[in-house]
Amino acid sequence: MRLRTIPAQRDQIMTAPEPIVEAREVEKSYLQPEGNQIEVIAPTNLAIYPESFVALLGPSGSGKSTMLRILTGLIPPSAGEVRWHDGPLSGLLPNVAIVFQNFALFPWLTVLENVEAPLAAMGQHAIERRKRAIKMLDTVGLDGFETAYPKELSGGMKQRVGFARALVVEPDVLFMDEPFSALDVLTAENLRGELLELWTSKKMPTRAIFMVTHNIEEAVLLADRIVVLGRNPGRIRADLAVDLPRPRDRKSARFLELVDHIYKVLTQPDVEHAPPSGPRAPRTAPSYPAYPMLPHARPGGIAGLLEILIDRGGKDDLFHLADELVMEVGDLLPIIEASSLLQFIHVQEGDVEVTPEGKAFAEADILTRKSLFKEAALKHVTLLRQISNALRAKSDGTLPDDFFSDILDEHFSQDEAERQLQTAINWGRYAEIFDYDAKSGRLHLTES
Amino acid sequence: MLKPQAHPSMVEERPGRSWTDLLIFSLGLALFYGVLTLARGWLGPFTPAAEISRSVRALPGYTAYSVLRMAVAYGLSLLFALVYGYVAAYYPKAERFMIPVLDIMQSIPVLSFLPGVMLAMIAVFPHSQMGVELGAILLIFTGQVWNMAFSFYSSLKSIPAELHEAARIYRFNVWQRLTRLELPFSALGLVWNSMVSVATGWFFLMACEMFVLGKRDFRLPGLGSYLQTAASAGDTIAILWGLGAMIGVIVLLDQLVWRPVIAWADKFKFEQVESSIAPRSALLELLQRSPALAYLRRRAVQPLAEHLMLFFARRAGRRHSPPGRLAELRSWAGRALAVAVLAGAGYALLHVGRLVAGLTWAELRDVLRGAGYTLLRVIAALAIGAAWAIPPEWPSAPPRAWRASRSRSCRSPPRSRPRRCSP
Repeated sequence: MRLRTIPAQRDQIMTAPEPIVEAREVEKSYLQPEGNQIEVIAPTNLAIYPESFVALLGPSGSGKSTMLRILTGLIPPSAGEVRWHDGPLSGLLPNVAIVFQNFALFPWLTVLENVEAPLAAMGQHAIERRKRAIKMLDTVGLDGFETAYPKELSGGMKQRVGFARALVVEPDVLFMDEPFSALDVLTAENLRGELLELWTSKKMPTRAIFMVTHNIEEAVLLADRIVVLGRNPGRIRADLAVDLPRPRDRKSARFLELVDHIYKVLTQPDVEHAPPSGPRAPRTAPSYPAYPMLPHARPGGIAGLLEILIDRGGKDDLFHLADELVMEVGDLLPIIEASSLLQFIHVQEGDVEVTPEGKAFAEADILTRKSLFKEAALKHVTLLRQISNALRAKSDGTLPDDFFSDILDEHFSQDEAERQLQTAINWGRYAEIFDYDAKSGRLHLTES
Repeated sequence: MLKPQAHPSMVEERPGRSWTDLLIFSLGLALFYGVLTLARGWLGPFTPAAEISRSVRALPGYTAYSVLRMAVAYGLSLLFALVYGYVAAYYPKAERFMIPVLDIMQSIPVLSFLPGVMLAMIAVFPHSQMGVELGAILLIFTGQVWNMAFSFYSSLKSIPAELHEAARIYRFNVWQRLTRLELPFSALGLVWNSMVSVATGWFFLMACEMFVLGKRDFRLPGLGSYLQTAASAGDTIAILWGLGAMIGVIVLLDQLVWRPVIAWADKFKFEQVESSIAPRSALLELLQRSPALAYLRRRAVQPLAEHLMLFFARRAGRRHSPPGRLAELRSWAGRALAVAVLAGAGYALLHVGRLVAGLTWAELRDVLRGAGYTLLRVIAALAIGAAWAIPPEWPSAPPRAWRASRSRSCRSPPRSRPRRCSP
């Protein structure tokens, strides 16, 4: 496997190239209303070099979007500094653009006006900015749509407008925050191809690209370098150079090998794959009693995955599986994680194998399934065990959901805490461990 | 500045007919003449108690007076709502007291503002009709402004984070943020609230145009005072004429103002996909097709907007150099303003205290008893209103906005909801 770590490679080959943007010992934490701090990103070093396409890959809750916003200067880090070329940065990067996940277009402006807006902010005259905007719209294949409003366009077209608006400012670094995840599979694939074509043929007025994504294949397909983030708190787990020639073939052995490898890194949270600590290597995360995080999957999804696996003889290669299901591997990840957490499957080196418990679960009838799920959930899922114990401790077997929200708030951001509780409630209801009354917001122990 | 064919919005415009232009031109002229005539009355000598005629012939003039008052009051309300909402939405320190103040102010009935506002305005313009007129306008203003301020404030607060980020990352200046993000986003809310506010204005018109203050009788020429005079004289025919005029004006305003505005504001709907039915207005289409207005837009409005945009862009570019000094200056100005406001409030409080100290116990008891009765009436009205407006039971999925506004204490998992509903 030809996986080299970036710092080592750079020290050997290049004569210390100057990074465009560099985060030094950057960290982010939020203060909860109750006064305790939540660390979202542990102290991290990350540099973006010219002529590179960097993908920041991580599961939800790893702080990858936060990292992007720190690097662009949209939000300040809690500690550490961001450097632009060779000076410290206060406020926004001087020349920066973001392609947003949900496009962030202004619906009351036409396509042309949307693309012209950043140029107007620079103080360019009407004729000049119209010329440049039209040229950029031609580049991204939107000629003829200048006077359309965003709501008249399909998702793919909207994101093209997003690209045009970002590129028209000729940014040094083009930042992209999950740019393809709101699009359907075919549109996304098409747009990825066009982006790559613009990038490799140097038709893009930008020196580097930094993309946040949760999609492993997307990262391997596009990037020269993949930085894998872990969560709780967010930190760099691996920093890999991708030296596959372009255009990359998704079916080629080396492509699959790399996807499998990243998969392994993502699915084995306890193993650190970060490069050996050099002068600039990320500091190992502080010893922090991380609270186990529930993957956001539905019990039905877990059952479905197990059934498919058993159909295929109980064992399959992850990537192969995703390919057959016409799913992005990244989309399968929560279901895999959940099944693995419940020990219904066993993941090793990118291969998935159904455990005896998983086999029993998949082959059982509905009622037995529920009881097997309950058994596994209470054994392996900390949050569900906690909820169950707390409810049992009450004489009337009921507690408000806020009680658990408060516990979760200490470990997760508020949004994530909410999602955690939602998933737990979903699982708990399925397994008939407890019931939830949305009106009163209370959890009730299910009588058996 | 721009060649006409270069502007994209021109492409879809069909050439209008010349009679449209003629119509628009004569309408504009009539409006100008009307305002001029009315303004002459305003600047005339102080006649607090005008003789109100019950003749039908006087009615058009009175109606014009009332509509003008409403228009000026509405303009003031809009301006105030924009400034107040903006400050409250962006300065957390100010927000903490500005929103409660707004809530208290909107609960105070218009009529309790009446004596103070009137006397103050007459004191400012002792020899001109302007004082009484301004007083009436301010009273209508107090009935209109609060919900508009709330609407603008809450719109600003609910702008999606990604749009804010886009505006920041692409360095929108103050002007661009206002005209490309904040005003468009809040336009629909403001339009609907404006309609409510103007309706409230009609409601208070009668009280504001004719009232007795102590021993002084105030009567302003207008539709409200016409109706009141007719009612107290028992002149049924005049009442019917007055009502007819009022209903006519309201219908005309709806057709000539609100419908075109609603149709125009539809483009500010924050939606990802086009809705099938968009509101339309024939008048708006007529205006949009008029060559004269197109010319005006091309030659006056667009160049002006362009100049403003460039002016603010350059200013924002220049401001980068000494950020420390400016911020320091601004924070000092803010502190000075806060001190001035506090001092004013303290002074007013002192006076109120002295005034209250002059009350006897019996008077105080009367006031408290009166307040108690009023409270009971308000609660009764609220109960009737609630019984009318709130459905007997919440549907299983309450509206999204409502769910979002609820506190964390009653959050519910949306994903599991459908399962609950299935048998």
